[in-house]
Amino acid sequence: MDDAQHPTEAAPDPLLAVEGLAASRGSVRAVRDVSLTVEAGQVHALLGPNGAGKTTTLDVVLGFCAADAGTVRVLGHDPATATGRRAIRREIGMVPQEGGHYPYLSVRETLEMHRGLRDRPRPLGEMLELAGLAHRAGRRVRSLSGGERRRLDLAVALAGYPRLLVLDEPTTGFDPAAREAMWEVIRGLAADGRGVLLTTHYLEEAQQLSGSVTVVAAGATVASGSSDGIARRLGLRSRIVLELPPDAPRLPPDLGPDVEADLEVAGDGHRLEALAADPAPLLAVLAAWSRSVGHPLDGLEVRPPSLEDSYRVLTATKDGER
Amino acid sequence: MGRILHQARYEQLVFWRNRSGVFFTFVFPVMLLVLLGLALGRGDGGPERLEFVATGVIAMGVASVAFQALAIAVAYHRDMGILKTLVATPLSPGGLVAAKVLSVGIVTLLEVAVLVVVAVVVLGIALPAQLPALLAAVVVGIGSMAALGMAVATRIPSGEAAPALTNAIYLPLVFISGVFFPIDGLPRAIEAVGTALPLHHLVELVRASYLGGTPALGWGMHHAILVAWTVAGIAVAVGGFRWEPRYASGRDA
Ligand SMILES: Nc1ncnc2c1ncn2[C@@H]1O[C@H](COP(=O)(O)OP(=O)(O)OP(=O)(O)O)[C@@H](O)[C@H]1O
Ligand SMILES: [Mg+2]
Repeated sequence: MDDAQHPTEAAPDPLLAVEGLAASRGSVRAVRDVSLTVEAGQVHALLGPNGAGKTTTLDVVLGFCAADAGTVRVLGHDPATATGRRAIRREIGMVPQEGGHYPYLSVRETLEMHRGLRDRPRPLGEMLELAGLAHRAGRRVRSLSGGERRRLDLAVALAGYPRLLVLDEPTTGFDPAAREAMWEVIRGLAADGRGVLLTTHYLEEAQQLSGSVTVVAAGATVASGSSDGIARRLGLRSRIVLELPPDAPRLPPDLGPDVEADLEVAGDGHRLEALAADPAPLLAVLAAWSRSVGHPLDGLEVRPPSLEDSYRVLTATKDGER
Repeated sequence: MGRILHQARYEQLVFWRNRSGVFFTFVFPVMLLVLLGLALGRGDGGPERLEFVATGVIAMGVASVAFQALAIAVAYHRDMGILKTLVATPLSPGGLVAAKVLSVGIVTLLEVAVLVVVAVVVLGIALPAQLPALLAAVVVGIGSMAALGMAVATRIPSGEAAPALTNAIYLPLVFISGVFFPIDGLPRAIEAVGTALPLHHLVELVRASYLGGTPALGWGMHHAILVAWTVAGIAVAVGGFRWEPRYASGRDA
């Protein structure tokens, strides 16, 4: 309906656009060719093996590392200029790979310090709540556990109302409950129209959170898009499994020429396993069979290729080049 | 400006809660003054000797806090990723440095006040003869020592190296700047080095303003030399400052 009201409105500029980025750490060419975009309301995951150049890419975005080549626009500004950095840092929230806070301040003091630096500070209680630190507000930072420190990093990143969040492995060291709570927070931020760029080595996390991912290996983007799209382009196939109860009619050993899948029928005609680029034709055949024999397809499972499957393929081929 | 004052308040908290830092940079010069006072009190040289050393230690206290404490803190905070975290906020890099220097300036003024009180009450020295001149000397001294502290911090590779490296500069500096004894008794070459470096001029200004009189090269000249060192320190600090640990990206953030 919104579309109908603004039929000709152009898509808004992405919050972050990186195109053909190259960047160095000292004499090491850490990033050779990375491109990615983050739109408002989107959680974008930047994935890749250790040393692939993720942190370096984020440091360019934040203005801590100079680009050797390529273009970088962050919230419409160029992080290579002092004025650009100033504008970016008013509206960005960052969780660095290794965060640092004054050990002699309490959690509350640390958050008050960061609130005072923001144009529009978030209420202290809300920050503590979002990061799950309400019970640690009075503690000195030096006496926090590793995971609690990581939560503090997140709370600090949320001290303002950042339009773009840059999170470098934000859930490292989190227990499962904390991780899921963090996912909720990140989803909430995206639902609120903020953009999130995060790196993670938990592919499950990326799949849970991100509509779009960029995979980098040895400093270059090797794939980007939705998890499904990447798998399709890699030619990865969905896995279809049908497990029938012993009293069900048997599957015919040959399902005909239309299934377009590598399949195997076993277990006396009660178990089917198949790999298919497109599971639809096989599912249609199975549905027709189910109707003709009058037995439901209760034990049917279709699993699209996971992000992990794609990641393995992408980073395995690239590893040899390093 | 509001952000700088806000940040400076927290920098104050951070300084005073770090007990060992407070001891080595704030308490130590005071202890030294008391001990020297006791040692010299019954020795030769009489009250002049005591006045000479006390005014020297006041100038040394300025260097202890504004140079040494600042450089060590910056190196540590960089190593811990704290500078990066703060620089990524709307507090600009310049704002963070200003907040740190302002905070250290406040501590230094306190340090000088305590040293003067100890000199008067414990050592029985008269009150400063020219208070405005003394204040001016201390403020200019804070500027030059802090600028040099920031400059040296750019060259300190890690937090662990900071105390050793700053001491390697600070301790010899104290001995060739006329804090404890006149430098014209030193070998010519060393005297020349001492005269070229800033602490000597701060010592001269503090001594002359406290005891009454005019410093060797005149007020203007000593002040000008300190200002020149401030400018040089700022130039080095701005050119080579790192916000992140390790990374030698050579970027001025
Ligand atoms: N200070 C440095 N000096 C030299 N090389 C560096 C420095 N920091 C990083 N590198 C190198 O740059 C490359 C990219 O590092 P980066 O930190 O961006 O990787 P990453 O993808 O974030 O890895 P991880 O998953 O381990 O965090 C690596 O080869 C790394 O060794
Ligand atoms: Mg990294």
